[in-house]
Amino acid sequence: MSDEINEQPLPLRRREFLKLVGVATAAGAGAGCLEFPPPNELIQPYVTAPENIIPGVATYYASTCRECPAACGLHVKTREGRAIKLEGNPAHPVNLGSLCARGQSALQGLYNPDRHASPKQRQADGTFKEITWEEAEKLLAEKLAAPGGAIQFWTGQETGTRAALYDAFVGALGSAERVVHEPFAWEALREGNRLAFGRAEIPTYDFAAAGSVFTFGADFLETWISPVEYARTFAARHGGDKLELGRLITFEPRLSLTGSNADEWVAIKPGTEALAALAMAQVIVAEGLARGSTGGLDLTPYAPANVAEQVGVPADVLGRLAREFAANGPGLAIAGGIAAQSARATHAVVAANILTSVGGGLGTALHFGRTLDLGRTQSTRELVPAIERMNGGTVGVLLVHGTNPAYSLPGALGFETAAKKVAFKVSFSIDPDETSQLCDLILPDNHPLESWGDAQAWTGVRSLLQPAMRPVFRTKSTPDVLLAAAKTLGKAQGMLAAATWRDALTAAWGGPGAAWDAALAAGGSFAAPAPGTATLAGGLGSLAFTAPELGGDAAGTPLVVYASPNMYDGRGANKPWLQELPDPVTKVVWDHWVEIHPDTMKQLGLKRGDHVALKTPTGTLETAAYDYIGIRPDVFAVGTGQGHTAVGGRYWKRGGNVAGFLPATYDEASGALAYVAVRTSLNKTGKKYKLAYLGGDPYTGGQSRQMGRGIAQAIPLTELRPTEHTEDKRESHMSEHGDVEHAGGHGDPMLHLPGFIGSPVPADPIAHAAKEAPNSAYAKHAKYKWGMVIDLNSCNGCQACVVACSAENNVAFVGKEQVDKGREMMWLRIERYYEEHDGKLEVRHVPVMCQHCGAAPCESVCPVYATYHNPEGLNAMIYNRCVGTRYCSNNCPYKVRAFNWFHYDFPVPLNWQLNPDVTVRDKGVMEKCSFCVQRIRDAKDHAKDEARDVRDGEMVTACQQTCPARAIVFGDLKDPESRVTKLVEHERGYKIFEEINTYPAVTYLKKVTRDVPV
Amino acid sequence: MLLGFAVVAGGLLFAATSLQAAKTTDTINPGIPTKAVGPAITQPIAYSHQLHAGKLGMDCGYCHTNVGKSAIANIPNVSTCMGCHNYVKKAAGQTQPSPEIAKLTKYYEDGVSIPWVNIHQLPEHANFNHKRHVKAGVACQTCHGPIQTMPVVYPVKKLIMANCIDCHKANRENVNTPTNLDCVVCHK
Repeated sequence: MSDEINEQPLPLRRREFLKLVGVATAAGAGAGCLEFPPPNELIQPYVTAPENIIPGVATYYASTCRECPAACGLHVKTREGRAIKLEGNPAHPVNLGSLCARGQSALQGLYNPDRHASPKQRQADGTFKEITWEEAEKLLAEKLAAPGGAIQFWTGQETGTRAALYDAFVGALGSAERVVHEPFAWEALREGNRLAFGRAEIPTYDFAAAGSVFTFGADFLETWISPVEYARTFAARHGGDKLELGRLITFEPRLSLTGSNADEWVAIKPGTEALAALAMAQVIVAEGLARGSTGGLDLTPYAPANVAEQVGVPADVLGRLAREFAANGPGLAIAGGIAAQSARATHAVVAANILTSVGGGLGTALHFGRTLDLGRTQSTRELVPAIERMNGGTVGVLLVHGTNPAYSLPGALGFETAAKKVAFKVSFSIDPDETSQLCDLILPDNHPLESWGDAQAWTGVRSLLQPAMRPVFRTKSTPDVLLAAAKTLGKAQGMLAAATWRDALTAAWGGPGAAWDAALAAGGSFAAPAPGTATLAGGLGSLAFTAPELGGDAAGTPLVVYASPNMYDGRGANKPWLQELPDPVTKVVWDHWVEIHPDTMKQLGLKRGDHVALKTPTGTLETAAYDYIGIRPDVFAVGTGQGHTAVGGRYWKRGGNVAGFLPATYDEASGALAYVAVRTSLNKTGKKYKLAYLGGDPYTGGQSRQMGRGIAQAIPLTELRPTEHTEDKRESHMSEHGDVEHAGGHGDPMLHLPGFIGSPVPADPIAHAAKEAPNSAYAKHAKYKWGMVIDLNSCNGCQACVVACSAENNVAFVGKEQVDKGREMMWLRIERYYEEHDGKLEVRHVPVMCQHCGAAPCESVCPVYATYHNPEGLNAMIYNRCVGTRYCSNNCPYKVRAFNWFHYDFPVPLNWQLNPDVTVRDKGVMEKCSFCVQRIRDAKDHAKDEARDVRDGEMVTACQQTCPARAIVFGDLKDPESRVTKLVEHERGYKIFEEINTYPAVTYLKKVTRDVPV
Repeated sequence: MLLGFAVVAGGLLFAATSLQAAKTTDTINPGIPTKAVGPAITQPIAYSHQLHAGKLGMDCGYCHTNVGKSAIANIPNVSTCMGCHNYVKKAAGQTQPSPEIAKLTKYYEDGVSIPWVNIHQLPEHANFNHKRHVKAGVACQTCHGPIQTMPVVYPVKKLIMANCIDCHKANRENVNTPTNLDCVVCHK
């Protein structure tokens, strides 16, 4: 380029070239350019700027998450009109600012490349052709005007205004019915509560108020009802510095993630939840410890001696636990999870309620102050007549929205066959799922993040949805389509007379005005809950509690089906974040498996990863074998959500669909689908297969043993709070060096090696933290020193933080093959270790990310100074300087660095989600956790605007922000008043591999184990 | 270079009355570079800063509204131009409507964004925060040169790291506006 001003007009060819290079703003993620200097980009302004958008500054909208019925509140962060990050709404009573892994992944549903991008019509040859909305709506109206039979409108669970609109629409059509199919609808729970309390509702389960919590297959930290809320309230009682004696005991044949956080696991036989609960209630009543009634039920037949064999647990264990439950009240017993949804699921709930009652939990830990409304739902059994009507040929038009019955109903119910007999089928589905694949006309709805709406989940909590951006694709809001159809059909009365869905919604909220605007900004209207009570109904004496009969060959093995925390009911399966997110229990990625006890595996001659087939009288399920010590040897377990067959999804065609393979059997009382229903045989198929885990190699990756390394440390409650008897034990745990706060604890065998001189842990952590960096002269200038504390007593291993980090930091997903080679890119991982004490299994979860070491082994070996210690204590990574020697990763003892072995794609429009404040890394560059340096810059920027320092709590990393259990704390170690500074000197504090003198900036607080009940 | 030193002197005066009250610390605004380091690239519309910012004396921030609010200094929205050009269709002293204004109007009416060519193109691996620099009192001309003298904008400062570091090094101990030399600030 010439240094002189060029007064001549430029040659035309350059201008033509430039016209081809279009970039929206200077911050776009442009295509890689091999020329230097690169040709000038275009810099294009808005024609008319939208009111709320300042390019470069994020705009937040309040909305509601619809990834499960809990309906947590959202703050959607948008940049230049694109939603890029989801965070919980701090004002929303359910989640109070946090969000689970599935909620964080909703963005990949919004930007899913396989979404239905436009209306489509099935052609004669079976393929779909894109059509215009005018054509599509015209066709819809025609078919609804002359359906040639009844109309069935299948929907998922809906509450609030949308549910009202659906019902109004169906009502206006005449000879039409709304059929509701929500795979996880807690039917047994509601029926059990109706029998026990006279209220067919889901009450408030207040874990923060409970002393002992006994769970009978209710995975309240994963999928049961409202996991984000429960993770918080559970951590409030059982985690952090709460050293209450009340324990969490889990009664399940297969140890779930929730169970892995329990203080004791009781491996009952599948379906015997009710018997186990009643046995313990019987002991409590018999020994005069009961604090509530049994509802008139005589518990004598259920004494432990009578049911021990059926339950598979020794009678004395049941007795011991019963006494513990009574002694550490208020006792809360919960049931009704998917993994315990057998033919006796309702009875399990009733039994749990009785146990809660005698344990003194009614009115405190369980009450009806705030109840969950799922709207009108139907149990799976209630769907049978509707399917029969389709099968009988009397249904002329089928409409489907927000539900995927062709996938989530057992094949034995024959939904697909019946649906094929319906002359005209319409799908409003967002994803190209199995049900929409069957349909004749597809009118894709907007994604919830593009939609107006509301959710009336919990009493007094009315959540609003508002579009955070314009629709990504050529989709249209289904309520608007229905309103237009109603008008065309001349049925626009009442609610259907609204001009648009937005008008209908606004009207339902009292019309436009100040109150509506305030509700939109707040995310809804939230009323404080009324104080609640719960009283056991009488008349429970007529109930007879037995274990269910499982179908299938008597010689087969009972199959437990559990709800996958990542895949849920299958809706998340086409999201690469969720597929690459390791299963929290097994750490398997991108796959599906059947869990088998290692002893049983040996008996069956199986190795981990062997391809097997499960066979029952109603179906075959092909999957891979996984040896898991957290399962009864006489049981197999399989998770839901994989095994999609719909051709449209590129990420979800893997594994087996267990829901489709189950027989059509039900919980007798409520009609819920029995997930635990059948015995199965298991045989190798002979096909070659491999499972991939986080970390690759099955020996080192998903590694389950610490082998004395002291990575995830724990301290018994009795040691923290010694009683008279344990005082002496505590003395002996003090290190030989005499420091009370000694290094290592369980994991410090190094100290005993001859010649090894351990490093002294300084008495003054603040001064130490301030000066520990070797290049601390540089650090003297800095106003802040960033540090993090992670409380392992609160962390439950849910991995919400992992997805939040990936979303915030543009972390690539690499696919099964690369993860198998140990090339996953995740900056943060939850390591899961097994410990065994006296034959009892203890599971520990520890989040590991870059420790930002003060004496980092990685910094000194970079030949180009691409990674260095910044004055504020961060180990900073400068991507454009990295040349890819990978020496840093070699040196890292924590193995937290990820190398970009390839150029990883973000298929359009997944790349719309990328955070413009964070560099997108390309091939050849090393990356790792940066302590969210872009958020640190942002916080300092705002503080500087206001001419002040960053306040404690203002700077929140992405992982910290989303954690439902509030396990992560981040802040300034130079501020004596900050939370981090106070926690760094906590008595439970330790650092990983402290003995090798890396001086990490991350302090962990030991998990507190409650081995010994009172 | 073509425009003479009188304008340069006027330019310095302009800097004092521009967006912020320019601090008189020399190290932050050591002077206005005038020598072109790149070509004046023809833009889709022959917009003249010399006319608007120079002759008419419009403040930089009137159009580039987000310089003080965001890391990204925006190119003005087409509607900002139309604020005046809805009415001003002729250049001063002309009897016929200006063809350039006609081009502008067509873009606006068609709802098409104007494909301006980026002169000051920072590579993607570097992040620059306009707000912080403007609030620190750096005059626009210190990096962008005497824009108000340019009929077609040309760059006067190569956007290379050395040029940024020069100022950042010089001002490390600046009492009012100490600068940051931390790599990760620009290369996060």
